[in-house]
Amino acid sequence: MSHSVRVDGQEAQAPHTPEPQAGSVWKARWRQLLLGVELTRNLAVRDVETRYKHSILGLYWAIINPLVTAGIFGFVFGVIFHESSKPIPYVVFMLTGITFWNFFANGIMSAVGSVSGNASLLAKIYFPRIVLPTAAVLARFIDFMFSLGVLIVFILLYHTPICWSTLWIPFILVLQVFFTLGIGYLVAALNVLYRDINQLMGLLLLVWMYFSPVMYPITNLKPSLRSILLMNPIGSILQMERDVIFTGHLQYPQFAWGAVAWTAFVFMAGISLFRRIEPMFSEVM
Amino acid sequence: MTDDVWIRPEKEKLGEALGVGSWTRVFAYAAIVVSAQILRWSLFVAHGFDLGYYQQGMAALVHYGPWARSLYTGRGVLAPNSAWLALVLAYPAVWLGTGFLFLAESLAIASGYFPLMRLARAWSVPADAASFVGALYLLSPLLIAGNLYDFHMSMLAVPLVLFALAAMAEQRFGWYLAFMALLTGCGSKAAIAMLLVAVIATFRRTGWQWGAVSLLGVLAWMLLGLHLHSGNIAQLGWVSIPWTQRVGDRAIIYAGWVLAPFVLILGAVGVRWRKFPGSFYGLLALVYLAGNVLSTVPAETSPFDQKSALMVPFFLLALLDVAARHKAPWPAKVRTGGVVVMLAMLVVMSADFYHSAWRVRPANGLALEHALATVSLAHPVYAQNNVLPHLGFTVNQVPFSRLDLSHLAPGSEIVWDTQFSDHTAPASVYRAVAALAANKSRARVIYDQGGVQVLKIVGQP
Repeated sequence: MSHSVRVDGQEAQAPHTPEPQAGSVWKARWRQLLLGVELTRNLAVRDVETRYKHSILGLYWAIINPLVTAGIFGFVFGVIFHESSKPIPYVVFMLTGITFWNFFANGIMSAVGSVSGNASLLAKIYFPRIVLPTAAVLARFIDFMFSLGVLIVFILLYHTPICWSTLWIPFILVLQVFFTLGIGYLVAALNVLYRDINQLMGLLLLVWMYFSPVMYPITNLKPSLRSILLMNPIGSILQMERDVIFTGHLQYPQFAWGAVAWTAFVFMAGISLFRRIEPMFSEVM
Repeated sequence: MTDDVWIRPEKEKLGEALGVGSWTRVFAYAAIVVSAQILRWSLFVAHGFDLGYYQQGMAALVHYGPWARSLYTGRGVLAPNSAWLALVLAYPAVWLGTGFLFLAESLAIASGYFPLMRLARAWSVPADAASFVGALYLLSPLLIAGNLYDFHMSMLAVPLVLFALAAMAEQRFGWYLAFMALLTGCGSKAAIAMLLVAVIATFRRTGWQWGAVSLLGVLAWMLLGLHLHSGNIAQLGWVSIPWTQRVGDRAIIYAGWVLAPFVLILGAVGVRWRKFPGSFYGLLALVYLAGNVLSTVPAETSPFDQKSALMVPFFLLALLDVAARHKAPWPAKVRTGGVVVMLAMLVVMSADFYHSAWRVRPANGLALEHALATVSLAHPVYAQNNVLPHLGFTVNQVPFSRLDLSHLAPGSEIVWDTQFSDHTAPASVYRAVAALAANKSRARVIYDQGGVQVLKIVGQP
């Protein structure tokens, strides 16, 4: 078996090396994976630190952003349009949607420029490039944890009862992280080739948000319209997250399986496309 | 700077056929088909006699064991087609729900891509031809149609046929026999496909003894397991047309639909190579098709029936065989053309989906949902074909066709969508339900909105 070996930016074809033992291959892969995880963690922490380092409010921005967004949408939909989400107070209902949606949208927007914005780093050393969008998404996950704190405060303030099934949230979040990573890999790789992707994603996410149950309940919609909205995997994931917190059970469990299938596909497609475009990075940048 | 020079050797490329790219294709198939299945279900156009039958049967298997009775047929759940794999699938399905059943079916079918690629590798098929045949598998309209229309155990036989043949090609005879044993769990509809696999294995140069053993095993299973004899051979849904009867237009159109992509591909390749590329596997596939065409059962000449999907592996084996024997690369135009033909057929199928699902969706879907929320499921619930799949994995769902006023026990409920009727329940049943709704001493109306009524039986006949 022939391998391309990369050491400190050098690549060498090693067709004459003896066939490695299966055990040693797996050991080497495991070591690579651990290194990758370590690097991802360091890059994610560095991303969060540099983002807030020279700002006056620092990490408070992670709290202010969802609060302002929720305030605006709460006023428009709750006060002007009298959107109802009974029995959940509309502010809590919408803040839940916004909190989880923001992680998805911010994760993708961070991933878009993660490779193209690190050209100097790529030129200096070799490391698995896929680490960059992964770290970008995980950095937004750190922000998301702060926003989650705000959501918990609002749930307590409004005395909104929550269910034991909230304990399922970590599992649904795993699904959301993988879906976000999948899209993140796709857009990060494509953005290296076409810089329009950055602009396009901003627009696309705006449309995507309105087609997802972020600000409105879907329970009383016609089944056909509701089905279309829940076919959207992130829409289904958001609905699952709200359901386990406030309803105690999944209202539309069939669509959850659709979201699982789409997540698996998007994640694999993301990795596949990223790997395919990866060799072109140095040519383009 | 050699940092991003990435030269991939051919061997690694072949390995990729079973790597990330393959998983992407498999999950793409599963995601798209599962979404369409869920859409059908959520629009109230899924069929009780396809999905509801298995939901009730699996719930009964979990509650009462292998000898459980089906409330759809009145016989044992496993009796009509001996699909004993339902017993294995029942436990996770009852726990995880209808969506899981859809995903399990779609993923299992999509996983047939892997043995197909393994077969290609074992037969040294050129990489471009192998991935082309793999694409044809995942784009096959026959396969997608069989998968899309709710749930059927026999569809699980499609990947198992390929797994068995791949195991045989790789000379893993233990695995081959294991897959053949699993095939018996997919029911009587998979019998012909099993027989053909055993025939293929018997005609091999190496390991033919295993093939012969499996052939005997399949014949024994058909005689003893399916109780097949000359009088009931029609249960296989194969060659049941009397010799005196002419093959109808429907059967001819059906054969054309099935054969079109393969004839076009092989024809184009034949023109290029100046020799028609025949194959033993193609011959077997034609025999299978001929059996369907010569059947009086309308489902056998339907491109949406599962038995049509079971022919797909054999047609694709023929393409792989041709590619393996003629080592010359397949022209790019042929490959593109083949994929375009499949996509065009899928567009036609989508139009059918639009007309048979989206356009006929009930306008009172929300009322149906609210009505179902009032049903207790603690007692038998009688419902029509469109409502049955929404009762979920309950032992108590009963189709309208089994409604007998003289045997309706107090506590039973009837969900009646007055805007729906189909051939699965006779008109007399609808008249009886209407009379029941008017009889206040016998039944109480507990829900009545949007043309949907829920009746609760309160008195004896």
